[in-house]
Amino acid sequence: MVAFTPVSWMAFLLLGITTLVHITFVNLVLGFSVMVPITEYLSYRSKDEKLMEIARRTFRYLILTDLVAGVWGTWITVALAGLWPTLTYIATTVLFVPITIALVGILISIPSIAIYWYTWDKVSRGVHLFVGCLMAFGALLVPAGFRMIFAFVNDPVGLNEALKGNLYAIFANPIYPVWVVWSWFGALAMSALVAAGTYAWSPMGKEDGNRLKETLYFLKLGIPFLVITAVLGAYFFYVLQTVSPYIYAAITGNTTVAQYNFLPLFVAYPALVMIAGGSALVLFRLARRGMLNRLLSIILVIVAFLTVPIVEAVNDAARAPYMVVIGGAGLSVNIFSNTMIPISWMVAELAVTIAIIVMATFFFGIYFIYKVRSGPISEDAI
Amino acid sequence: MPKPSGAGTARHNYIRTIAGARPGQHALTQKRFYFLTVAILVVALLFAAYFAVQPVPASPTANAGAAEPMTIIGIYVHGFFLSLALGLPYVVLPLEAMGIIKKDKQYSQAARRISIVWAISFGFGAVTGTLVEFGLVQVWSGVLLAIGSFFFIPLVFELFAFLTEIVFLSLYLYTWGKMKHQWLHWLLGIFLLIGSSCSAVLILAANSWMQTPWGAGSLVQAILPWSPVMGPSAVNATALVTVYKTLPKTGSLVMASPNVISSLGYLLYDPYVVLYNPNAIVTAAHTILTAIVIAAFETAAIFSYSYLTATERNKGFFMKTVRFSYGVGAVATILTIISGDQMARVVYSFQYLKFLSMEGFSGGVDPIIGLISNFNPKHVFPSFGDLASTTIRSIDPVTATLTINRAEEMSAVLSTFYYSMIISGILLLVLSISYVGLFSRKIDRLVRAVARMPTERFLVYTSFVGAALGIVAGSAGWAVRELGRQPWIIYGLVRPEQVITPNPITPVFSYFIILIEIMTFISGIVALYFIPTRSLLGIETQVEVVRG
Repeated sequence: MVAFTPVSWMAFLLLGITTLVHITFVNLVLGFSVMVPITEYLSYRSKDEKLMEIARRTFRYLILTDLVAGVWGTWITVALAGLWPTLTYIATTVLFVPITIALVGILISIPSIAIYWYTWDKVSRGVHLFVGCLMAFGALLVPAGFRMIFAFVNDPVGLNEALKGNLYAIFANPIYPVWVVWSWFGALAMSALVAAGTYAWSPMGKEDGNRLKETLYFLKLGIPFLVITAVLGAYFFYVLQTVSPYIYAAITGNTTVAQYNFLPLFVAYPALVMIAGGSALVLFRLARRGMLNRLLSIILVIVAFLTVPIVEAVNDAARAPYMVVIGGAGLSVNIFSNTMIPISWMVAELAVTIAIIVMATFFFGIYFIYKVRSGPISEDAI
Repeated sequence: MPKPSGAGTARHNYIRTIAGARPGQHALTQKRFYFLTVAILVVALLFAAYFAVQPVPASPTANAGAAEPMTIIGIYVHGFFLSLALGLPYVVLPLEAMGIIKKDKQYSQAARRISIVWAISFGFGAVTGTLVEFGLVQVWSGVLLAIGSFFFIPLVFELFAFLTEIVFLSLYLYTWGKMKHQWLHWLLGIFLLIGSSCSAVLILAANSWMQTPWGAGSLVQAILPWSPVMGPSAVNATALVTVYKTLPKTGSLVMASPNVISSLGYLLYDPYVVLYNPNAIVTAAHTILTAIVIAAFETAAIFSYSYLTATERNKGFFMKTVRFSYGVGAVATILTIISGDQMARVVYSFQYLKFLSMEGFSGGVDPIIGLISNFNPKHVFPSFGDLASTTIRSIDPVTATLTINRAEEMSAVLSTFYYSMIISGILLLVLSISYVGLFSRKIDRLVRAVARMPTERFLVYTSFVGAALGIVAGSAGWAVRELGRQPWIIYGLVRPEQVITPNPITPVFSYFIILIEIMTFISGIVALYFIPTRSLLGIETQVEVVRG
């Protein structure tokens, strides 16, 4: 039995909470960054003005979600550097190449989002779509880089080779490729279903009749993406069983091996996927008949939104009390958390409480902006 | 064409864009856009080919040297956008307040337009901040030792300040014209100003600790005997001496051994000591004031350009805004000079070698420097040679001697930057005094006699000079600050080659990062130029002047 120290408890919780929030919103950014240029392209091809309107409106959601994701991304960096200095050092040294890939992705993604927005209708279609492709490419690069950190702490393949200078040995990690692809499709499925549900529910529908076209469009994308995600998810957990037996034991409730039981969360994930799939299918059938159901839409949004933090928590929290899992055991969080300054239990609990309050205030602020603007962000405001 | 805001009672008059493009005249044609893109790509590829044949650094010192250019460029690019993001609230909020008090919509309109520049600067500041942040933890990864101890409190508090900044920036931008009470909207801006200023203060506290490691007590003095005691001893001296002796042998790789780090015990007993650093307090004041100078003169320059290209009937509006923003810049310049003096005194007290080096002075008697620093023209300053004689008392005489030699070598470069800053400051002071000509007949007569034009017109032309001088002064000041602590990254304790990543910083990697930094800078400048005017690739949108 490994016991948490105040600093490791605080570090684990703060990193965990912010990672869950960040990844949830990053999934929306990734999904929208890919789907918006595709929608724009389809609009040009089919000369369908409605599709262009969908692309524009969806892009406004992307800006808002990117803002939220960006803030929590900064939190994660500071939490990692300040609370996990040795772990961060090992990660940035050993995972130099994948982190650079992710950094390049961020640096391509953020300016291209801004340029894409401000050049809409102001440059030729080709140039605008090119910027859109850059935006999508940048967004896809980010998980391609950062997922290696997750894969590495699940199974530190290539550590010794990397410390000797072979920085590419880490790419032999068996769980990494499936995790990246799963993340891409998961993000696409989640954002398409959230968008479909939001459009179906959106009060703005009252002004323009309804959002049937938008709902159907995103359901047509979201349902196949969800099926692919489910298949990849099953394969991911199959690989996890072989590379990280400890995490697998924790999520399957085998407490003879694992210290904590994460079975309820693990069961919740496929249940949520099934509810999301079921509600999406029913909504799709209804929409094809020209009807929308607001209750079903809300369920779809909430469930699709929850799948990401739940599945991330399944993988990330299930490693507790280890930070780096090696087979059926691992290296304790106490080894990697900050030991350089005194932090008492009171300070640790206070820090976690303040972080949660600040987080709640932040989301209230975002909600307030949304309410003040009476709907999605208008072009005029930006 | 955008929908006219504030429609209703106000009459609208559409004039030429701030960008200066007349209707029908394309600001940037598609053909030019493609040509520029291809030209940039060709230049980028040529440079890539050059860097590809350069040798890969073989030692930690060479690795640190290879990483320095991209770090310096990255920080400067970040600093440029950040100065605007930090200084602009001090221009926008008084403009908005003026609009509310005088019930003058033109001031509010000016505030709103400049707030777009503010938002863009913040956005690019955040993007480049991410780059700098990753550079710090990935390239200078040994700095994590300091981030986990001395920088912990400033960085954690900075997170909250950053959060305040981003929430209130969004609220401020999205609620323009939506609030029933205009003062409530202004109040949101005040919270934003507090957030951004606190954020700067906290980051600068971390930087100041790298200049004067406050709380290290007499530890720095044990290594550099001429240094004063760095505040109370809040550190575990035994552990820090162990780190000091271990780092030259292991480099940053010591961080790869969690057991070694935890065996040291606490490095710092009082994590808040970084915030009491006298250097941090003066640096924060001086940097924020400099940012206000830059932002105010930039704003004045934007409005001056609009004034010069505007039709006669709109000139009054732009002149009003030029006068206002120039005034903010003038007041900030005077305060910056006062804080600059305090800054120099801190350098004199805690980094004497840097003081000698930046003054281009080798010690002895200098009546002017003696009078300014000690109020005694006959004060005898210890020379480099005098300091060298103290190195025998050091626990590391070799490094102490190296520090003196480096300061002597750097003197020419450092004093060039230092005097560029001083001269820019003096010229800005002259411009600030000329501003008084708007209110004083005597000064106005003096301006007319020297510049052969009325003060108002003089302000319009010199706002461009003021904007450039502000940037020169700020950039040169930071160069003095950062180069002046060489060969240390944390003065007296840690050197660059000890915290650089063990992974080789290949020329291609360095080039690639520099390319991204430059492209980000160019994108930011283009965005700052075009987005407020919404004029890009031939689509003309026009500035709308509300006549209240």
